[in-house]
Amino acid sequence: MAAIEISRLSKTFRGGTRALDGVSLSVGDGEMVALIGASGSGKSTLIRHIAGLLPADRDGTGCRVEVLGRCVQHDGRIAHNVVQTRADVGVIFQQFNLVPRLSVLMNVLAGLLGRVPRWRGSLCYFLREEKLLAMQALDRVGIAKTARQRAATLSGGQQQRAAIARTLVQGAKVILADEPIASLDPASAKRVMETLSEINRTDGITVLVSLHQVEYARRYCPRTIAMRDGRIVFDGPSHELTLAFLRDIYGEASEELVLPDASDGEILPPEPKRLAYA
Amino acid sequence: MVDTTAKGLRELDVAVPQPELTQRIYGWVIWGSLAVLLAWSFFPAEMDRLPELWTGAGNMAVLLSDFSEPSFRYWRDYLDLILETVQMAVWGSVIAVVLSVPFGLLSSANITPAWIRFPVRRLMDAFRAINDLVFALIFVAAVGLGPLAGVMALAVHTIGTLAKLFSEAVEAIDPRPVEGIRATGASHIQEIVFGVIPQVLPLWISYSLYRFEANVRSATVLGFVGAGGIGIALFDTMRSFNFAAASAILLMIIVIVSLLDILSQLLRKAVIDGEEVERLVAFLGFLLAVFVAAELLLARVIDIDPLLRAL
Repeated sequence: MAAIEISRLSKTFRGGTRALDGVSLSVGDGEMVALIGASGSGKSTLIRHIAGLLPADRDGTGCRVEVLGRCVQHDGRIAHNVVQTRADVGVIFQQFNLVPRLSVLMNVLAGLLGRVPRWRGSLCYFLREEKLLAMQALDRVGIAKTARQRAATLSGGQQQRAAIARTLVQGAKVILADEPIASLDPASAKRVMETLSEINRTDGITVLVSLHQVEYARRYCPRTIAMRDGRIVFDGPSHELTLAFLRDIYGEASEELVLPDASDGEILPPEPKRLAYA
Repeated sequence: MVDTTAKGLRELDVAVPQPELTQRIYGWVIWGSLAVLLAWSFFPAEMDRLPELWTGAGNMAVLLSDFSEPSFRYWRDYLDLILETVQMAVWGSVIAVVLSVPFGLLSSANITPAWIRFPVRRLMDAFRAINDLVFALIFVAAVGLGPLAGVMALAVHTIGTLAKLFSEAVEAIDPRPVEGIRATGASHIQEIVFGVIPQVLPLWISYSLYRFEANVRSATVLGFVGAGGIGIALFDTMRSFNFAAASAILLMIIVIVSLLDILSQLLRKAVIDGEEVERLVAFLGFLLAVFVAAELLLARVIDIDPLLRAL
């Protein structure tokens, strides 16, 4: 069974921008797939469609999004039981989307909302073992000490790891990560990517992660899907994404995807540069 | 290379750009409208009689001298009524805050569909448009003379203002945390509890405290129409030209309103910024002592009449 199955997905925004143009793809169970492309190529839009946060065009082509064999949306209509499906899909956002004034622990516990009885979730009442589960998740991403702090007081990297802990507590079988490292410094970016990759390997959770820079895709994801102008222009092993190939697909825009001093031999993400006076 | 020293700058050939004609016309229209508005209201508002404040200075002096010797002869009655005023404001505000949460959420564009939002908003407009003194008149007819009518009047009018302020706060939230909560499979109510309320809570508390202050002030006049509180005493003394007593009442009102203003300021700081919590606790202790002392005086457990007579 495929973890994610999309057929003929199109999205036109108000104002006529065609963000997705007949996208079809399939991601197998337990895969870790990178989604790359320049800004405005449709990566985020695609992820929001898979999570059922945006409905596609009702253009009569019978477009369909399925996650874990359950329908998320069909022909531009979000499925009625999408709330149940969402509980199995963890979404990680570029801006972390934590609730800044709630404690880190409470933010992580929010991952349980789709599973605990509704009245209990609505009253913010969680059992001891549920809190323990949240603490274990925080420990696993390495920020257990921050549990009682407000989420707003965390650094960007810590916030993103708290968001990952939320998906762990959620028991997500699929994690959709929308540019999770785009607003992080290189060291934090590396830790977040390593955490995602570790979760994928040990728990067998399917990960679809959109990235801005090809280096990270080549290092952490065996398979890469490349997008341009709302279409899939490449889908295959990440090591085939050579600089020359990228220039072929993206032309001038390829500069945006590759760090200026990168070469084909160098697949490591850049180490944080030490400042001379530090 | 451009020479940017003062002398070098002077040689550069630039002119100050004129503001665009349309912008100048807009400016004239706006200031012109204000001038027209002021002129139009000048005579109807009797602004031509303003100099009488000076020519009638003698009358003013007599009035002020009457007010300058407050008479606390019936202080026990006034104290009783002032406490009642505060108690009315407390319950009126609490009822309003509790009911403003659902009404505020129901009139927020990012939460509620238009067909619910629109009628709720119009209802809130009506609550807000009608002054609490008018509501007091209505409730006096409905539930009879006394503080209950005042409490209901304060509550209804305050719901109108608070629900609007609450919904404006909700409409200004950051949608991203809400989306984060939605993505975990939360229900609609849970999205609001986890994603919306934590974001707006500081503003809601702040608005509620402002309304409480305003309600204490409003409650002091509700007695004019028989809806409880110190207003009845104020009304009677003024109507009988007993300005010495009225002055005493006004002084007591100023003291109690200032005390509660300070309280709400300290509460705001402590609850929202987590600052000066010690000062809040100290002030709460002081206020508690004041109110306990007042009740003991009223119950004649403590008797200061001999002391006052001696003075």
